[in-house]
Amino acid sequence: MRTTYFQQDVLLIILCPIVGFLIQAFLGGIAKKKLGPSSTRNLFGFMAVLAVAVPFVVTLRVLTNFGPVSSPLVVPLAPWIDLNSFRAPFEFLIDPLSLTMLLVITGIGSLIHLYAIGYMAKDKDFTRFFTYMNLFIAAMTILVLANNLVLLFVGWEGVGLCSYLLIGFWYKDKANTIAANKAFIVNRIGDFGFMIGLFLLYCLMSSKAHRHTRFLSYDVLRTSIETFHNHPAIVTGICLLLFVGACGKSAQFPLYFWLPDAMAGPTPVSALIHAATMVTAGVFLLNRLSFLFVFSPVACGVVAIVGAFTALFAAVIAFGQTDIKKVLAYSTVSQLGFMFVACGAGGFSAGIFHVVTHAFFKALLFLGSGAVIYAMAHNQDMRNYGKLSKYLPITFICMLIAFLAISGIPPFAGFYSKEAIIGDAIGNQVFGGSGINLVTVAGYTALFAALLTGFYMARLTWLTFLGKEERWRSISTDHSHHAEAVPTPALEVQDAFGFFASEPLQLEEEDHEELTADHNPKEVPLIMSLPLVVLAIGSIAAGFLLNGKLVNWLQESVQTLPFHEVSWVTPAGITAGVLGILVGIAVYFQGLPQKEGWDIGKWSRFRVWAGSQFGYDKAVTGGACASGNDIANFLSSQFERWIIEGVLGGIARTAKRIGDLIKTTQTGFARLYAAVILCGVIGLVGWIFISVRGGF
Amino acid sequence: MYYPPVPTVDPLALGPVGILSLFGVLGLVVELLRPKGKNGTIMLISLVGLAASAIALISDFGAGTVRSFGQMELHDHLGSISELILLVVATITVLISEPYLKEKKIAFGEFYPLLLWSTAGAMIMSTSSNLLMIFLGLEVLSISLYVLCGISRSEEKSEESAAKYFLLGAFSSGFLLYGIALIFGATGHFDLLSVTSVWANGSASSHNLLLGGFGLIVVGLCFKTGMIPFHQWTPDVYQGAPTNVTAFMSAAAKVAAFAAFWRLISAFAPSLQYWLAPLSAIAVLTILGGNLLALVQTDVKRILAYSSISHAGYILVDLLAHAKDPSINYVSMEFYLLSYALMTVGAFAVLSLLAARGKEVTKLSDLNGLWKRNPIAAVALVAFMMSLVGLPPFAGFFGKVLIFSDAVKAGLVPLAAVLAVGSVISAAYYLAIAKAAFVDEPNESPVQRPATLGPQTAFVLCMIGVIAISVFISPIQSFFQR
Amino acid sequence: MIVGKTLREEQGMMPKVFGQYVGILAMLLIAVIIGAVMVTGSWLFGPKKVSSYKNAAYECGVEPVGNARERFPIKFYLVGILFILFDIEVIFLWSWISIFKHATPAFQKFTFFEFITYMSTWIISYLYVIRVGAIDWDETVSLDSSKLTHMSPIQESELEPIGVTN
Repeated sequence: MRTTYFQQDVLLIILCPIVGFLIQAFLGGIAKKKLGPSSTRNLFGFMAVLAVAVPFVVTLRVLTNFGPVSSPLVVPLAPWIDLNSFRAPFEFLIDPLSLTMLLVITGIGSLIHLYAIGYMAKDKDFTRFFTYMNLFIAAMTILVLANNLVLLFVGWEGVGLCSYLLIGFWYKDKANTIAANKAFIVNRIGDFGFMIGLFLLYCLMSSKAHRHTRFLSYDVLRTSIETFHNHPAIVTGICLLLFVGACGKSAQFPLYFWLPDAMAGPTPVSALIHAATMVTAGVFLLNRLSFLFVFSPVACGVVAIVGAFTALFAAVIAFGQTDIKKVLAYSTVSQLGFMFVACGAGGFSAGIFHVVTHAFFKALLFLGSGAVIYAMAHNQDMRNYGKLSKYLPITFICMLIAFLAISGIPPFAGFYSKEAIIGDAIGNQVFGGSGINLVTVAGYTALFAALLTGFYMARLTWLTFLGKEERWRSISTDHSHHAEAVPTPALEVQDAFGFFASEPLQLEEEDHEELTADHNPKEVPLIMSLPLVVLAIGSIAAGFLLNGKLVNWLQESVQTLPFHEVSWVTPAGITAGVLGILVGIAVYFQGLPQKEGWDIGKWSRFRVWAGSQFGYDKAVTGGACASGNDIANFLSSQFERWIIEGVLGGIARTAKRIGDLIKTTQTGFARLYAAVILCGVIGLVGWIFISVRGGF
Repeated sequence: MYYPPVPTVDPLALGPVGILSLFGVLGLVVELLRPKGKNGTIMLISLVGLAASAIALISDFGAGTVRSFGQMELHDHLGSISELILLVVATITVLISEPYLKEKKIAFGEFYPLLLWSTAGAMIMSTSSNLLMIFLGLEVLSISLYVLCGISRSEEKSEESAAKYFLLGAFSSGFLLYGIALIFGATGHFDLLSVTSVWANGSASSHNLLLGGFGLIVVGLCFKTGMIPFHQWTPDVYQGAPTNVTAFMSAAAKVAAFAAFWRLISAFAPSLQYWLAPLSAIAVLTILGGNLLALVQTDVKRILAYSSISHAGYILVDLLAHAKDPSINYVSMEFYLLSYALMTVGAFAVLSLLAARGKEVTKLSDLNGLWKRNPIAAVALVAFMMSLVGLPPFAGFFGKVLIFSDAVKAGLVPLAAVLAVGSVISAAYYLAIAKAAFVDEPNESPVQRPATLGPQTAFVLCMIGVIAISVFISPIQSFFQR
Repeated sequence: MIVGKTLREEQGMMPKVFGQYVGILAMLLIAVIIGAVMVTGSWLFGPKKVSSYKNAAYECGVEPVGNARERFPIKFYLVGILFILFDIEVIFLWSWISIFKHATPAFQKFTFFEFITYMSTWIISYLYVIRVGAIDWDETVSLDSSKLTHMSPIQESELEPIGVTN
């Protein structure tokens, strides 16, 4: 009975965004013709928010009914893959982890949807935008609610698709489509790892004599601890492969480089998908499979080190960026690194804690930056900003709160989660405590990255909102065309192969409003500032309200490893944050230093190098494209010539010749056809009678 | 007072056929009233008739084996499935026909009644094990088809195809009828049921009669399904006939003829040793010959005609497997026929779009640039081609896998190998069609009618079907097996 | 369904069956021989004076004009076939009506329904045939104009049989 009750709720949660998606997709265009753009915007915007807000309310109801101490509940809906040896039904899992994620997705999702109504108001493809957004929410709910890895993969690919569609939302600008393709292709690598991991898990589980055929479902997997215990090497392999998938989706080191480019999408997309929800899917996956990861210290070490390196690496790159959204993108990559450090240290739930707080303050940062961009005629270069606090007071205060939260200043949200992560990492017991502990190293690295976080966020805040001059007042026309001062070198390389070829570049004049010297920034409308305020409250309160409680609650669904309490972590964390901010203030108090001006020649070598991601992106993208080209060239010259042309062509020519030969009997005259039929009859009946007589 | 026997009447078993014929008559009555050049009403009547027939069919689906009308009507699962496929084929054909007929200026509203009667004939043919009924159904099917082939009266090619089809059809019907007569001579019955017992108890001379009759009936059915060497009419008739008729003919005639073929083979399975070799030879000839001949064609309709020949060969392999191992049931064959019907009719539906200014446009090069003119049609065409080759995840793949595994299971490994070789050869010309539609640029700007709702729905449905039945293969199999 | 031996087999197999027809075969043979002998004889022994007058089709009739292998109008066959169709179909009724009167009510009910079906088909077909002008000698008068307008003279290029060019 309890299950049926939840069945309806789960169905409602998943169906709402799907129905919303269908309405937007199929009625949007018609409505625009019939009702006109303005009423369409109101109506469809409202419906889009509703499609996310209703699931939020339903989730709250589920939460109250579920209670704080209930055990995980599997809600089967329908059969799907139904073989004799393997079953993967449409079944969903309600437990603290999925509820936490659901609340984040639908709660922050509805705020961002609300914001997007204002942000996208002038866009011609208003309904297309919300089509993708609602579809994304649907896929994401499936991802977090799924009770088996196959269904999770459906959501996993679904969010990937929506991410691709939304990055390339303004597809008429070729750079956007290239960014979308890049995101999609890089994610393919991750998904490939994920799939192999999945297959490996399938092999491991199917080779055992199980009572269950639903052996990729979490409730069955959790009870198969003995199997994992007996095959540590395979488990490590599975964990590492699944982590490759998580790296792709959550933008960790070898595969992080799609996320900065993904900022080509509209800002609400960056806030929702590329900061708050989708990119945390990797962390979510690791949490879901925490019972698997705890069996493999090696995998945990790798996860922690990769996370820590990414946190540091991305934080350094952030210093070389002038685009406000790029800075936030690298900050996201860096913060995701923190979450993986937590997972690697065995403190999986601390990772989720950071997911939650990060969702608040990073969504806020993105929405705030969106407000700035909106106010500054879609110019994203921080060098054109300055002293904006005068014009955008609400945005400024919200952004300030988010800045303090991300830098880890108490009592803001980021402090608690970050402290939990660093504490878990430094005091970990993953390896049982002998030799060099990789995870501890990761912990210290993360602590240093926290310092850098304060530093580059102070840079962002001062360059944008504070400082002494309003720099766009001194703008001249050739400056505004420097919007992309740090070029993305890989684009030309990719383009050379025509792989990303799409429509020729068409910039629409209406979208290309110039930022001029006499521009007066205006505060955003209420519909956009309201979400900012709500998120700001969340960024303040989420930390101390949830501290400890969330981690305890999650114990029901997430396994964690024990760790030592390290007493000095809290002061050290605060010190790192404060120190970073102070250094930042010292450098950027005056505004834009000469060394970071329009002339890249005056920049320090290191900053230019950091700005170009230390050449990593160029090397990987260009290298991959070039070597792909080489392989293709080799195949086309050698394989094509010898195998295709020579062998297969020869066979084809022979076949054709035979065909031509038989074709001569096809004269077009019915009399001949009749004669052939007669011969056939004689042949057939004759053969039968000959075989009756036993040969001639 | 006479006491002649009154046959049992099973209205449910006859329902689908009866309804269809009745609606055909209704359509003809409307045509008699002559709605000035507007065939919309007749088309609507046909669609309603097909729907009503389908409802009647489904309401009685899987009711078990019932013989009625003096054992002339056989209501069983094989027949019901065949009827269902036939109804699908006819519906899709009706959907694509109206714009095509308008474009070709074929003003005959008689088209639709004829189509319905042809379908009814095919349904009669597939729901009887009585040889006379099979013959009757075949003739109703064929005679309607002869007329349909020639319905484009201003076109020489259409007339020619009708004449050829009629002449050769009549010729082969003679063999079929003679075969029936021989079997009647041996058993004193028209029903295939009596064959087995007569074979078991009969003398050598009755054996001779039976085998001779079998051979001649096989000739008749081979002609209908287009097996080599009884195939030569196929490309000429397919090419000359109006494309929508070709679409119907390529699927419906095969579905009906194979249902009858299945019953024939089942009845004659005990005498397998005598005819397995010649029929295997026909299968091999058909598969290889059909594919090789398709390679050298430049006309899409002819390519598809030869492809239909080779597909008939594949299905014959399944029939032979069934004869050798009776545990192999008709599920594979019906699945194959369903997938074949969807993809072939779909491909012809796309082709029917190309007709312009009253002319057939079916050269391979006429497809060039289809991708730009009508992307949905092009994508659908590629899906059909991939399915015809037998690439996953399309229905054709599973169809071939089923037949292949049946053949291996029955120990007909050489035939399975030939099947595989044939499929490989077929990739060349199917992909050539896909290439023509997608890659090659058109020489001059070809005329393209904008696709109207009917054909668009038709091939989109076919495309969805081709994918869906492969996704839901196991429910469909169990549905067929019920 | 007959289980066991067929009628023919019970009567003693093929040779005996063959025996029944020996007389007919002999008769056929004699006819062929006589015919052959007469034709061959007249060919061998007859006088052979050939003249153009003697070679004419009718030695003492009207002078032949034109080629005998002329095309008939297809209409001739159509009308002929329709006549035969509707004429012969009545014969089917004869056998039915002859037992209808004396048969059981069940049979009467069943077959009367069949008869109605049959006759309605017959009548509708007949109406159709008249309506489309199938029995009018000049169908251009009676056939619906929309079905005639598009009929164009045959193009020379279309006359090639299908398949020859391919």
